[in-house]
Amino acid sequence: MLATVKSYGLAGLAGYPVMVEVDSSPGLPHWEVVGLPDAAVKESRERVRAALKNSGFAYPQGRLVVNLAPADLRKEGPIYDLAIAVGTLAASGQAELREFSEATFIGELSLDGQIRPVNGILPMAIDARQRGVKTMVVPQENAAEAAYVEGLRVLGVGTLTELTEILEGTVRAKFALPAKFGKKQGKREGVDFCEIKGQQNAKRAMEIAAAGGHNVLLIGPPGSGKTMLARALPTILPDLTFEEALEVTKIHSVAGQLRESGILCERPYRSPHHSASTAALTGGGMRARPGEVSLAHGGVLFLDELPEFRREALEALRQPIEDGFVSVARVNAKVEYPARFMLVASMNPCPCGNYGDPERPCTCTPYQISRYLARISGPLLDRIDLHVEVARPKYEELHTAPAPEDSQAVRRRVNAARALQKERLAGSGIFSNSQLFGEAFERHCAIGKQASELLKAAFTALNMSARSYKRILMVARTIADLAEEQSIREEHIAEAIQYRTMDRKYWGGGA
Amino acid sequence: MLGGYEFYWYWLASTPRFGAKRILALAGQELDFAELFERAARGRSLEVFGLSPNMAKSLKDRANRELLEQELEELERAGIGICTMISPGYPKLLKEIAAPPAMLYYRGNLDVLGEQALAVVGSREASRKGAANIRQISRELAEAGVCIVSGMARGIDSAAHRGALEAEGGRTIAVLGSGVDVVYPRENEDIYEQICQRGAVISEYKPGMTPLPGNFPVRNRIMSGMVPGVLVGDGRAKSGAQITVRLAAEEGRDIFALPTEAMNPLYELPNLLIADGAYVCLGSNDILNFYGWEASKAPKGQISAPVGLDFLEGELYNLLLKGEMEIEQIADSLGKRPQELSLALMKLELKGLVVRLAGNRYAIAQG
Repeated sequence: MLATVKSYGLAGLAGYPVMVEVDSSPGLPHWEVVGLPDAAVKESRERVRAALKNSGFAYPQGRLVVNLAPADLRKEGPIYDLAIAVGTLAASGQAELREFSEATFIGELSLDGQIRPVNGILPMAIDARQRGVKTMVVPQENAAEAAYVEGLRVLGVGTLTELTEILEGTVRAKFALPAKFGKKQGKREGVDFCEIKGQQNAKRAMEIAAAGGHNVLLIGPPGSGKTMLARALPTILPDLTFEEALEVTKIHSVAGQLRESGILCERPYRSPHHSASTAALTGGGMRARPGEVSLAHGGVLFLDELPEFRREALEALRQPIEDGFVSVARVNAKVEYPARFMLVASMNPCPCGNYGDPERPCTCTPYQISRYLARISGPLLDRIDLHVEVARPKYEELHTAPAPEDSQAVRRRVNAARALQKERLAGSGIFSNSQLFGEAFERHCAIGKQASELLKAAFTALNMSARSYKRILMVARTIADLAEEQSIREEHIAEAIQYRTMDRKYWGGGA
Repeated sequence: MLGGYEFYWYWLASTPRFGAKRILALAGQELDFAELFERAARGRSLEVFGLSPNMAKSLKDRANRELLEQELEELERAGIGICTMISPGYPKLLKEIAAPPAMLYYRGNLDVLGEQALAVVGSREASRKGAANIRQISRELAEAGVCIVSGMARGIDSAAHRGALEAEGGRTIAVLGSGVDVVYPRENEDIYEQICQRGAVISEYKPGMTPLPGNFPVRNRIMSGMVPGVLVGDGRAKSGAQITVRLAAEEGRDIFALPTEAMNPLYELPNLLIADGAYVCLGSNDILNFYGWEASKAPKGQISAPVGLDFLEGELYNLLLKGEMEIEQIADSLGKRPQELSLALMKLELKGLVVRLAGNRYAIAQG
């Protein structure tokens, strides 16, 4: 007897329907899975056999062939266990699909018949809904995640027995309630701005970065609070919209990085260690999994100790920074993952870390310093708009300074500045000042006579590099937005120039 | 090419272990070096002149006219000159020290030394202020026609050379602890080139010699030996600069010390020297007056008095006169937020009144 059960597969973030065909025919006991299964899919035979037995079903005697169609796409992972088990039951006459004949089944089985959660439910559910799927049977623990897809009936099941009872009609199916996306209000996870004492200058720079979506390089001695500032950044970023949240959750779901069930409502903060390989950062491996840049999509990618990262790993960041997505090509997979993140990097000013500190003398030679700085290539530096020097906080600042603003207050200003940008850039396909290139740059970053004279004078007098010109104007645009001013003024330019440390001659200079 | 007798000096001085002392001892025997060379070239015994068999052998090995002439040609092609003790350009004062070098290699023009010259020594890890002061004094001295002699090391040395090079027609000589064609430290490539053009780079070491740590104290005796006085900037109590000063004092050179921050072991050397009786130098005039050298008539490149500042700029300038400060300290003292100061600071910077330093610090510009 032949039974067909629908399931789903994933290639990158895009899905495709999979038909699980199970044919049971008399013959010597034999079990075969065809349709390009990987090892985990082949192993599902043993899981299905044990799960059926332990749930009180008979394992069909005879010849059993399972085909996963389309047969030319590689099937990965244990997500087909449930569909194969249901197909086997149907093919051996132990169950009927009835109203679930058009439903999509996804889930992994344990030997005792429990249905375990799997990765990638959200992207599959979104894709399946777009292709007209109306009902989806998923592991109980994944139901909350799939329930965010509008128009999809989601049935979460805990065990195989529970599922068969529902199929038989002895138990009524309880579909998951459609979930509503609620913005988390108030304090967010992470370091709140009010916990950072002093550091007014650096905090201001982080606010500008958040408001314009600019990349930041924090330069300072060890213990100056660079990591803390980076950790605080997600708390002042604008709120996630539902669409963004879906996209972010999709990536995390595929990577198996969803910590809680349901949808991510906070911006991700990723801080890979500096020993990370190129593939770990950009994505890759046999199955072209998303890397850190994609997991940071919509949030912050924090690279602590930037010069310690491998050079090729850093250079690989250039494409995602520029394009907002990363294409990962492997022999048997080529996928694109979104990767629009804010890069926050930190570094010491010199190998010993004390350069520029008035209290602790630096023991590095200028040659050592210039070699250390040269580990970060020009093109990468070119993509970082703000270079912020972070000084060690003074004792008085830690203990007597007035209580600083909390993240919510800062976020309000950031949201206002973003709203201005959105309005100005409406219909142009870009969302923030950090993406202003070409014609849009000319249009939105025009400056008056006074401001342009200051910029010109600063250029010659301060020995600035040509590449900083555009960056200064983009940052000045954001500063003007924060001040809710129409045009870029002198003081905005002057402030923007203060954040171009790495272009300045005093950096690592000799006598 | 070296003229007659200098050729034999080159032969002796370029032989390993033949220093000025030994050569002068040979000369003291009323010995004609040309004759000595002939004997050596023919392989005849040299022991009669009080030379050990080993030294005699080294001399004989090099007593080859073709080989020596080839060496000299190569040096000339590389733009490296030779100045032996009997050459006319050899610094007069240098001959008087206890262990003068028998021969100097040089690039540039040795004549810039002249009578008015001053050596400048100090630490590689000089304070910013200390380096800036040395630079200013060196520039003013150079403007008055004094040749600045230093060692092209980091810190004080570099500041001295740079100061001299900034002066119009300023002359300066760098005495190296490596071969004259070895630029060390590498970041001084630019001043090396300029010194070669406007003064001279000299060394007693063969070209190609690497800067071994042991070379520097030996080099220092040349620096202080060729000048009447030595100016001491920032330095530790025990340091290369201190060795130079001791040697210089033993040779009867005048020691000038530029006072530094008190009780800071990094920079205390000049203060200790003053306590020991060194002359206090508070500016270039102290040195010019001491020797009766004439100060330059050219107007000094002074900082223009701060005029035309707006209120905030003036406030900032007056605040920074008290010393360098971090941006947040500045903001706190004025009761403003850092971003409100950036325009004023930028304008002060563009006017050349204020400089920005690493670590978000600002200071009044030094000369």
